[in-house]
Amino acid sequence: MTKAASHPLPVAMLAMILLAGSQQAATAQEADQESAMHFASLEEKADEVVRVNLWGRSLEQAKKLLGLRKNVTASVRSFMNGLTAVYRRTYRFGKERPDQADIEPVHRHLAEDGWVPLIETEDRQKPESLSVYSIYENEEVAGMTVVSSDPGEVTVLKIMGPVDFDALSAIGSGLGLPAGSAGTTGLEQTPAAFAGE
Amino acid sequence: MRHRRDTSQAEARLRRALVREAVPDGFSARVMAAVRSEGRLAPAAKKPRWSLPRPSQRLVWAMGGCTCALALFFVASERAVQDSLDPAQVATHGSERDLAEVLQLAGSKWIKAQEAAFPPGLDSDDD
Repeated sequence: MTKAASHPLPVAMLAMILLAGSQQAATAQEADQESAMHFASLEEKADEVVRVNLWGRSLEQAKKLLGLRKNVTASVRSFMNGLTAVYRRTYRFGKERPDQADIEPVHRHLAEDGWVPLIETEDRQKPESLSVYSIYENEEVAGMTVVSSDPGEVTVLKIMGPVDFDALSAIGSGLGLPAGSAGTTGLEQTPAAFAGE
Repeated sequence: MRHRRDTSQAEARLRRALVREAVPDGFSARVMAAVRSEGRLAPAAKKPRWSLPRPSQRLVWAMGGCTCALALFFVASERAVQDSLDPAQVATHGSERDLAEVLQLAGSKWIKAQEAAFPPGLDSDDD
C-alpha cells in the first residue's frame, strides 16, 4: 500500500512542474518575438505608430470570435486556428521620412533570426519596397513576415504558425473573412492596438 | 559462496604455515577460530547498497501538496501577468478586429508581392 500510494503523487507533481515550465517557456518565446518587433530608429521618426501584439489568450479569443463569423471559410478558419502569434507594426511619417538606413535593421534582424526572403520587390521609379520572408521548422513553413515601405509608411507584419498561402490569398482578395471586419487605415483601432504594448 | 572458498584456501595455507612454525600451544587453534569467524561474518558485514532514507508517508504527501500549490500559484500568476499585458484586448473585441486587419493586410501584401514577382503576363502553359 505504501509503495503503490507514494508513486502517483510524485508523477503528478512532475507533470504540474513540466506544465508550468512549458507555459513559462512559451510565454518567454512570445515575449522575445514581441521585443524583436521593436525598431528604434523608425519609432523615433514616426508620427504615428500602430502596434498589434496578439498571442496567448488574446489571440485565442480573437480566433474564437472571428471564427464565429458567418462568412469565414473552412480553409481560413483552419489557417487561423494554427496561428500562434500575430504582430503588426505600422509607422506613419509626416515631415521626417525614413531612409534606407532606418529600414535596413528590420531586414537585418529578420535575417539574423533565420527568416528566409521569399519575395523581394523594389520599385525603381518610386521609393517603395515589399519583402515577404518565411521561417521554417522541420521543413514546414512556421511563419511569415511582410515588410513594406513607402515614403509615408513602413509596415512590418509577422504571422507565426503554419501558413496556408492559399487561404492568405483568399483573405487578401476579400474572400474568406467577413466584409467590414477590418478597417484599412488601422489608426481608428489604435487604443486596442496599443493595449498590447 | 566465492568468499567461503577463498577463506578455506586461506585457512589451509595458514594451517600449513602454523605447522611449519613453532607456535605456542593453543595459538594456532585461536587463529583458526578467528579466521573462521571472520569468514562467517564477512558476508554479513558487507556494506548495504546506497539508498535514500525512506521518507514518511505524511512527509511525502505534505511535500506533494506544497509543490502542487506552488505550481498552481505559478500558473495563476502567469495568467495574471498575461492579462495585465493586454487587458483591453481581452476585455473587448479589439483583438478580433486586429487579427482580421493583420490577416487582410498580410493577404493583400502577399498578393501584391506575388503579382510583382510573377506578373500575369509571364504565366506560360508549361508551368
